[in-house]
Formats: sequence, C-alpha cells, structure tokens
Amino acid sequence: MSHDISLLRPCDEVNHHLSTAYASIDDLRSQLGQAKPVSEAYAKKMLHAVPIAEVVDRSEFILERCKGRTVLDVGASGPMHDRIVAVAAKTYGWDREDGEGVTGIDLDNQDLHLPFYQGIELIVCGEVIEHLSNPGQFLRRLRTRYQGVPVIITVPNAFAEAGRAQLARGTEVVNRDHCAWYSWKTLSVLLERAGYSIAEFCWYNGRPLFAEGLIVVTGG
Amino acid sequence: MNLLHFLRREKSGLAFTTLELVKAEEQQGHGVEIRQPDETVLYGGVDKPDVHIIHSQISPRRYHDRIPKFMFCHGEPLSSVGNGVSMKAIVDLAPLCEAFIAMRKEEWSAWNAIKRTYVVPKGIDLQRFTPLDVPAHDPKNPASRLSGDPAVLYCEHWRGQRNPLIPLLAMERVSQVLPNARMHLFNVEDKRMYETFSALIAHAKWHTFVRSLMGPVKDEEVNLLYNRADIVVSGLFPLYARGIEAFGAGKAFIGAGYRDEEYEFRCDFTPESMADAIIKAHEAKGQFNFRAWGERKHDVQETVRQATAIYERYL
Repeated sequence: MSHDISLLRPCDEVNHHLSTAYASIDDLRSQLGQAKPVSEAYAKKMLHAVPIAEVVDRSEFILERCKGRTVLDVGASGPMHDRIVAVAAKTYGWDREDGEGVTGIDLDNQDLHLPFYQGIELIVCGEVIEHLSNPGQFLRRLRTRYQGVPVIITVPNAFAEAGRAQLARGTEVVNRDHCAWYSWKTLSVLLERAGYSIAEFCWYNGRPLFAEGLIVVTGG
Repeated sequence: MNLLHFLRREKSGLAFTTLELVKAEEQQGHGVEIRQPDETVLYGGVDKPDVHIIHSQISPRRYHDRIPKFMFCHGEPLSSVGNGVSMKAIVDLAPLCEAFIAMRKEEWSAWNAIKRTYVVPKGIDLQRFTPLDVPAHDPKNPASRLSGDPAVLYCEHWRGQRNPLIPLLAMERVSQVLPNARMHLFNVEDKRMYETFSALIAHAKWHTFVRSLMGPVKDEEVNLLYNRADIVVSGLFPLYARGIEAFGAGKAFIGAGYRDEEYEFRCDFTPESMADAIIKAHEAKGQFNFRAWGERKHDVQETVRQATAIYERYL
C-alpha cells in the first residue's frame, strides 16, 4: 500500500510525542526547571550515566602511547600517521589506498582476511569506525585477528558543542563520508558486542560531555 | 482558533509568560498546544493548528508549512544583541513570520525595523497573582509580613547585570527619610552573587536596612512573597519583567524600565530617582489601588484577546 506523502500533515509524523505532554499548565509550570519524571523501566532502558573523564589532546594522547612500540595504524593517512611513524618503533598501516608502509584494504569487505603482523603491541583506530558500514563486524574480526592487543579508538562526539550550535540553525556538521554518530553509550555497546572491554576513556578537545570527540582504549 | 506555541522547556520569565498566555487562550475557548522546538509536546494538542506562535525558536520542519507564524518578542532588543545569539535567531526567523508581537511599546521601533510589529499589553495571570491576607510580621513565621515600613522586596532572577545594586543604593537613601524602611533580597541562586552582595552589604554597613539575603524562591511561593511586602522593586533596565506580578498582589512595583506614562511611580535608573519613587509609593499606600492598576493594564486575558485578534487578520 502506498501513501501520498503530500497528504501527510507535518504534525502527523510526530504525534507519537503526545504521550509526553503534561496534564495541566500548572503541572508544566511547576516542573519547568526540572527533568520530566520518567518511569523506572524507561530510566533503566534509556538513561545512562556517563563516566567522569578528563579532556585530553587527541594527538598527544595517541603519540604518547605509540612511543617505542610496534603499532598497527588503521586509517593510515595524513599527518597523524606520519607522526605515529616518527615515534613508534615500527608501524604498519591500513588505509583505503596502498602507500609507503601502508596496505590498501576495504575494512567493510566481509570476505577479506585481515593481514596479520607479528609483534603488534598497539592498534590505533582513529576517526575510522564512523566511516564504516559494518563497524561491529570489523571490530570483531580485528579482535579475533589481534587477540589481547589494546586498541585506541577515537570518534567524533554525537553531542559535541559545536555541532549542536550549528544544528540549532538547521545545519548538520559532519564529514559526508560518515555513516554513524557515537556517544559514550553507543560506542560502549558497539565495543562490548565486538568482545572488547574498555580500559580507558577520555574526551578530546572541548569540555567534558560536549567535547569534540571520545577516546577509548580497549582492554584487549 | 487552534494555537500551536513553540517553547523551549526551561525555567524562565519567557516560559512563565508563555504558559500564562496559553492558559488564558484555553480559558477563552481556543485549542492550544505547546511543543518544544524539537517537536516534543509539552501540553495540549490540536488537530490542525491555525497559527504557529514562536517564543524564540521553532522546529525547522515547520518553516515552510504555510501556516501563519507570529513571533512573540519576549526579550529586550539590546539584550538580544548583547547575548550574541537571540537577535540573529530572530532576524533569521523573521522572513517566515507574518508579524512580530511585542509587549512593551518602547521596543516597538526596534522590532518593527525587522518585521511588522504589533504591541499588546504585557499581561499576568491575575487569578494566580492575587491579594492574600498575611499576618503581621513575626520572625518565627515565614509566612508573615516582611519586616519594615515599608517592606521593600527584590526577588528577580539574579544574573550578570540583573542584580539589586541600584535598588540597594536607592534604599540607602530611602532609609535616611524613612528610618523604618527595610529591604529584603530573595532568589539569589548564584554563589558568587551571594558572596558579592554579602560582602557589599557588610562593607557598606547596609545591615541597618537590609534584613534578608535569601536563596531561591519556589514558583508556588512567589505570590505569597509579594503579599508579604509593601513594595516590589526591579533592578532591570531598560526593560521590566515578571516584577509586574506585584500588581496582582496589590503591591507597588518600582522599576526603571516601567515607562507607562499614566503610572505615578515611574523612575529613572538612578538611586536618587528610584528612592523618590519608593518614597512616593509608600506615601500613596491605601490611596492608590495597585491591584486595579494591574487589572486595567496587565490582564493576560486582554493580552490574549488582542493577540488572537491580530492572528485572525492573517487567516
């Protein structure tokens, strides 16, 4: 059955929100400055405390951990990769295109056997998974291939201050190649499903909660 | 008429004013609904809105739905520029609107430069803000009259330049003429503001007339607080805000931003002028009916009647 979309009024598609309304103006007035009370079931399913975490410089954080180690850099392009190469004992790289010391692979290709390099001590996966169509599958395969190796994952924050301000003006600021936004909770769930635990968590650039992005280091 | 208001859910004078408008609209038989700019419904529900009424923001999906839109100008133009975002947001939304509606005629020229602007009276809920019988001052009874003759109350939202410095300086002068006059400062939420004014009062030896420096006041207790005082003062300029609720309680309101030419107790934004107005209001006690003034000038029912008449012109 097809619908003529032009017959839909704008409010039809959002009428499901009606259940959230207050019963009276006085009720609403008395609770203007407070969070709307929610059921225990709703809270359990929908509300998640975000851990207190510090804000760091993303580059410094990554480079400090790469110093003197054998590193696999996933998304190995640009100045950040060059800086990792400069500080690491040995660096392997994966990116879309082949390059010097970099193997070109499609991380979304489920049939691809991920290359294995002996002695990898740390994997850096910076600003990568938000580009992938199947990030969960990639992370599962990565964990299986490099068991016990910690992974630094960085992603843009879905609730970043700058993005919210632009969105209020009707513009979403996002790389046109991204197909997901991550928050503390959604990234945690993704990693948990891939079999990873989180050993470290911090924000980069900005202030806690509304910073530009998140950094996690998996427990291997 | 079906009226759909867009309002951000936050504790502010803008929100209180909007809720009073909606309540009065409903009482006058209109269909009403309040949504947040993200489309979350806060109150009511209408099948098909006749007009959208914007209180600073509206959902972008409504921009081009061909339903007439009206912007209520709650903020004061200079502040709207000063806060860095409000004026830009208003200007951005102006092309979508049929007209603006202002509640202070002093602001008309600024808003009308952006969009055709109508002025309606700034109303308050005179059923909510009413005179109460309050027992004589008793330090042990928090519901009794505030001390002082007159008891002068400041209970606006303290933030930045919105603070009681000018009213305090005025009261210093008032206390020289009326030694029993006392000032009561309520609703300070900001710790630094509290510390600043504690230090200022101690240093300037204003304990002689300042009797209270109190924290937040619950919304449901505001009318009682007005009723416990004789005179309510404002530190705002060039606007006035919710302080006119004092009229509902039958109390004098003294604020430099209140410019109604018929009001006998106008003042400038100087300690001397405000002190003169406080003394004049004290002398007029029992002779000037402030409740009647509120009913004539600030009845939200009349605000709604005039606003809906404006909407009808565009349907």
